[in-house]
Amino acid sequence: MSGFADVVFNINNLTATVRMATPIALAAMGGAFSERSGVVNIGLEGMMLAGAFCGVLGSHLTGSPWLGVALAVAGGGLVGAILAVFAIRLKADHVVTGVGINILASGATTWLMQVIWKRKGATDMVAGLGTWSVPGLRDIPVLGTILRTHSPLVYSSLILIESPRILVTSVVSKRRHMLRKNYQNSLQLPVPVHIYVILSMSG
Amino acid sequence: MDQRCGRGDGLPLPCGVHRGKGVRCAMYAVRMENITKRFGNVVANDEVCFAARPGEIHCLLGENGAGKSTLMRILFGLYSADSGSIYVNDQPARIAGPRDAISLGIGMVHQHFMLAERLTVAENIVAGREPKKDGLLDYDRARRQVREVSERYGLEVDPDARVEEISVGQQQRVEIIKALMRGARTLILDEPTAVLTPPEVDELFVVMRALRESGTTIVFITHKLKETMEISDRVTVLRDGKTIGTVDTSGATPDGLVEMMVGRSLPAHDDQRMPPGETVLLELRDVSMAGRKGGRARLDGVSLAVRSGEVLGIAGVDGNGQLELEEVVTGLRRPSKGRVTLIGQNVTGLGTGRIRDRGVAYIPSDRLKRGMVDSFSLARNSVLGMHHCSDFSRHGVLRENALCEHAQGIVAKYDVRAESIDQPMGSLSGGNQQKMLVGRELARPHSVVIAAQPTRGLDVGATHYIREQILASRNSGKAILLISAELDEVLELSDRIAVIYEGQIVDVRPTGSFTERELGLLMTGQREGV
Amino acid sequence: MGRRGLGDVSRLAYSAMAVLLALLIGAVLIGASGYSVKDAYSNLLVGAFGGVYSLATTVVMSTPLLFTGLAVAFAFQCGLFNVGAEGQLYVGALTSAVVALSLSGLPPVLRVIIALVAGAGAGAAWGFVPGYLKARLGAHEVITTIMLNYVAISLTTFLVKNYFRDPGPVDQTVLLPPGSRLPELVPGTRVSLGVVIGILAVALLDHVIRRSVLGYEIQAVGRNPYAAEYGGVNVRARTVQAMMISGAVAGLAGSVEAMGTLYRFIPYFSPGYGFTGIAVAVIAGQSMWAVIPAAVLFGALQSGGQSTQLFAGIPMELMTMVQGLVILFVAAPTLGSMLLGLRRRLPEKGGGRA
Repeated sequence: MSGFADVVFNINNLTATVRMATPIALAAMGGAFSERSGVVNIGLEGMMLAGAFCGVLGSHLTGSPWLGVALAVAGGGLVGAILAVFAIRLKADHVVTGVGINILASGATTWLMQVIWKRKGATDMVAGLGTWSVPGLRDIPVLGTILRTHSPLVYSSLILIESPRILVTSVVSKRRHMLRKNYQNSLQLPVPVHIYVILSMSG
Repeated sequence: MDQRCGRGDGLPLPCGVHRGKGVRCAMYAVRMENITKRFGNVVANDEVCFAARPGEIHCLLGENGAGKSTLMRILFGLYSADSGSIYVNDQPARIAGPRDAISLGIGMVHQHFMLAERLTVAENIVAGREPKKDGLLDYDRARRQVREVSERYGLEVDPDARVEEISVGQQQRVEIIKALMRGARTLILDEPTAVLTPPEVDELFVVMRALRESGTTIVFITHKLKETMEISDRVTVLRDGKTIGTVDTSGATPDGLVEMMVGRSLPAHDDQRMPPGETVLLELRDVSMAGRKGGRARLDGVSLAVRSGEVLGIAGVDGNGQLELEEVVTGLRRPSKGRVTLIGQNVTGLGTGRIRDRGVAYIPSDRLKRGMVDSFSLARNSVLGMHHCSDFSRHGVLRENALCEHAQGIVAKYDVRAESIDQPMGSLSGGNQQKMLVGRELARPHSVVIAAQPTRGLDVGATHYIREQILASRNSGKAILLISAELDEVLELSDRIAVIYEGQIVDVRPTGSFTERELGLLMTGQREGV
Repeated sequence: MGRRGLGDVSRLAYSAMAVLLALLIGAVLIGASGYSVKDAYSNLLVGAFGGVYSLATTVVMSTPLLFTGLAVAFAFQCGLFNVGAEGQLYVGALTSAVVALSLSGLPPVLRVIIALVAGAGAGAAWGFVPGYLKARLGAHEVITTIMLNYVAISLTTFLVKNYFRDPGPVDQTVLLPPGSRLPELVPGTRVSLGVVIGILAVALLDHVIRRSVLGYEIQAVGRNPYAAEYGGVNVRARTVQAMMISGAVAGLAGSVEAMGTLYRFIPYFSPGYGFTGIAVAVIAGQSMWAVIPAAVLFGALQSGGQSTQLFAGIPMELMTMVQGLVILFVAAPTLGSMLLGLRRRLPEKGGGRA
């Protein structure tokens, strides 16, 4: 059992934990945002796939990983919009629609991958974001080592965690809140704007 | 009359107010001509004509299902009429949605408020048109705007209170302010008094008169005669989707209006009252029930007894423990303290099924939520609660024929308007649903009846019929606990009345010993002379 | 029988339309990626229905969906969303395989029956947990069932690797001897008695739902738990029972697959039967019998899709996409009425004419 503690408290593992938690955290934020507007988002998987794909695609087409990130956000958002349209405008069951989106996305991404790269399994390597070293963190014991070198997306996810709090007091969020009560005004669609990240990007 | 030369907003003045030069006076604030609206086979509005003069309180009167709400929803743009025309301030108007209606100065306060409970009053009022500062809500400005309108019309609200914390009457005021802030000159109120206590109704009427003075036109949808007589200038009566007529209230009589509403006159109840029996069939002793999340106790030391052949009416403003009382007596919830006794046996904490099996007929206050499964057929609903009995099932399998017969029996006896017993219960009108429910419950072998809001939302005809049934039940020796927010109903049917306030029984006396005024006071927690 | 029949018909017509729409969009995508639409769909049809072998493949692919679709559809009747059919079928499959293997002393008929019952039982147990958690604690069954899927897949894999392994290079159980298998219905194919069992299950559950007291109460709970409570129904008990029945049927999906098609338990054998079963249930709507054509639809898409991939070179993923589109379109009731120009009894918004 002591081996267990060794594994858990190993610095390398903790660092990896932070890295691996990032996509989950981002997806969860998207899901929470959606919940607040009254839409149950089961389609997070699909949105992540779409985002991952678009990210790689963007990097492939433009050579710039940052543009890839931008495209990824757009891609995830687009799938989110599809969920919104179906779940709200067309009054479909949220969960079923989410499942449908997941299936659709898994098929679509694989298919498009074949169309563009002519290959199943994995795409070619694309320019990734690399890692950033944050100066100053180096000197903080333990925590510094864990946080020192990560993909910029990991850092941005840490910042984004604060974002919901800001958004909650904003106009947009209030409006969304009212939508939970099925407001009569013709349908302001709450797009669960959804950011995602897949580590394949950061190499 | 106060003279004011217009409000400076360029819109026509109501007639009778001093005219400045070049200002036109509109004959009618809103006029709807030959409006027809169908939903499938049902003609909700049939060539309806309606016109409200500026600055008047105009009542739209009719039974439930007469088409009043539909008509006003067309005016407000929620529905579109199949044919007919609308004129606002004598100009033809095209209203494709609420936005158009609002821009024409029409506002509507619905029966079921559309407020976000967790947000504050101010946030709700400005929703959709929020004053912004740097992308964030400018709360101070919102608050000021609300205060301004609130003071102008005497609509007291606290802008910072959360909607879930304020009373229903105050919530209604929030809705009114919302409409006014969007520039409503014609205000439609849909059954506003349905959710108010008697003193709140008086306050609402004060506000309405103030609005009238300032030139606002008010269309007041209701099925209550008393209010119509009290507050309105003119009345338009609808029946079965048609306009029956428009009269000046000053010249109208209640009986005359009833005849217009119903098409016939209703005989008074055959009230051969037999004296109540001796046996106490239902008893509550010191029953208390805690509130949710440790709030105030919902029931606090309630003791009641109902004898055979007696109707005990619970009078009180909605929300003072009636629902909890209903739930405790029928086993839907356990009391935290006290005993419930049925025909001498302790049934405290028994489940609903067991209690009902012991002979309790239960007409629930929320028929849609509790009393029926709206997608089930009439046949299936007719045995809800008895479906496991040997009359209706054998070896775990339902006896379809028995269900059908039972349902048909109820339909025949209670004159339920339905095409077939296989149609979903939800497709019936509210009145017919309630008739099925009452029929079902009174057809069970029972000795006690719990009747909660038995005529809520029903038209005059159905209401009359169900009250008759309750009296008939009483006369055949059943013990009846009547819980109703309609004071008139309690007065009419009960032998004794218990007033409930904040979960406590304030007084229990024979009906005759109360005056209506006294009851009104007790219901709001006050006592005569205190 | 009055209004009820009409509802079913329009639902079926509506689902059919959704499927057509999805196929249409699929055609567009196929064309857009440079393949021949004619080739694609003709291969699809032939691959699914043209000839004994094709039909057999379709049946084999439809059978597990029949069970999982039925399981999810039944749970829907109680207002429960059983996303855990996948996990339930795994435990059912492993349990049946192991039991069948260990009962070699008994005559085949008994072996098969007991193994099937054991598989159903395992599925029921796997359905019990989310059912109980929902009834007692209000835990959302979508989440609990999804979590248990992961547990089931890992657990069964673990058990096979460590306890029930066939010595050899592959992680799987020993091959089931002929006496422990479900008999073949059509020689030369893998069509087994399983499909018959599936149809019987549909008949049974249809009877339960429409005619029994249990079914009445379960439906009441699903449509209006407050009214069910009022009617003396033990809402908690029915919730648990419905999940258990649903789990049992899903468990049978695995059992039938293991004993009738694969003849062993192989880790990760399911290509998402449990999830596709959700789509099947949604298309079937309220009717248990409609699960059969719905399952055949998806089975046909699979088997036809394989053929399309083989002969026209069009990747399977397109079929997956069509599946996803079908789910989306079927799930959106308003879409259908918008397209057909039907009026619904909902409050309308806008479109003024007055």
